[in-house]
Amino acid sequence: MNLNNWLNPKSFSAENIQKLQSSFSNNKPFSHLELPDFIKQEKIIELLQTLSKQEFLPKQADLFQFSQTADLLYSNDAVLKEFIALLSSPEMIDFMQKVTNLKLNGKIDLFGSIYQDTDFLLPHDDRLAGRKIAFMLYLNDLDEKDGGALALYESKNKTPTKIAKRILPRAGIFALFEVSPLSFHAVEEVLTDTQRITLSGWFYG
Amino acid sequence: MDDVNQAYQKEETKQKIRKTFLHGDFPAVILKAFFSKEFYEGLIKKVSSLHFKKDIVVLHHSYAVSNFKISSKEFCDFISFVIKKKVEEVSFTAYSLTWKDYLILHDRYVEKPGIDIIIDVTDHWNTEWGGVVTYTDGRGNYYPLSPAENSLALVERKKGLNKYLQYINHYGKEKNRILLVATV
Repeated sequence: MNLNNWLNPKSFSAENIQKLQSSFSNNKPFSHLELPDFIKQEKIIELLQTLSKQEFLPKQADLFQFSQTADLLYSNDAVLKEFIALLSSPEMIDFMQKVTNLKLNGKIDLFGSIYQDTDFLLPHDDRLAGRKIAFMLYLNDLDEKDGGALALYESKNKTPTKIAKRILPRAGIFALFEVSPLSFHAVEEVLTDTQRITLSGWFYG
Repeated sequence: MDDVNQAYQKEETKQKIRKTFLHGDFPAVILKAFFSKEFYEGLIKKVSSLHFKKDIVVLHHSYAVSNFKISSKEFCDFISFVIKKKVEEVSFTAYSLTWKDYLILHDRYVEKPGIDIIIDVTDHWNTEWGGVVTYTDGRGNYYPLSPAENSLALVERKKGLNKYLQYINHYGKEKNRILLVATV
């Protein structure tokens, strides 16, 4: 596939990769990155449009309340197929490995999620067999008053203590973090009628 | 003066409650308007004067707690009869929860099996605000306890059955969800 159809060409430059490597490993409270212009704006719009045609099922348990699609790896939608091909392409895997210094096996999964008024995801670390990098692509904007920020927790003795950083959803931001015993994070409650729409998943290794 | 609603003191009613508790599919009973009006008003007064202390363990809970005892003989006799176990005084943890509070399940914090005694002292709680005590057996079955002021819930929490308290959302921010919870 032609990655240039999807990605900002500067993303894969050696200079940029070096910069991102340093940011990823130095960012606090645990290794993470926010890439604001990683994917082209027109593709974000296409993904948002195509996601609106997918079926979302409400999910509710002690830890969360939101709506989610089935695993999109099995979707027949052309745009989603192309996006999945992009994420699992050798070039993307190579890029992720270089930036994060984590060994990946090319396997990913991908879900669409919608958080609406009162939806939330309480603190947890995402650890599950093989998950190396968690990622999320924000498809719309939320203001601070809307809630829905990704909250990253600092830890003491491998136990989360307090929120150290909030990432506010902005259309086009591709955020990622290393899944580790310290990767405690949460999605703060959505407080208004503005939905929080994302594509998210994990790179495996 | 009665402490427990007279309706629950009739022998026939008590027998039915015990049967439901001991032999129901989900080993639990929820009794609404449980205490007499006078006793409940006194209970509310005492609970209102408690000093609650905030307690946060990010991976497990966020709430405020205090201690509370009920030594009413009528109450203890009723509990003893239903659960078939002698109870002379019940030491409760009083929980006060508001917006952003929760109690979730976590491998690090598993309760020992026992019989939960839960008294709901929250007036007019709307379940759309969250805050519902829910039991789950880990096999996809959920048993929510409908919030009701002046209600008593008795739940036999066997191994594998655990409870959580739904996150309270921003619509509940002006309110406090207050529960007295004991395990015997």
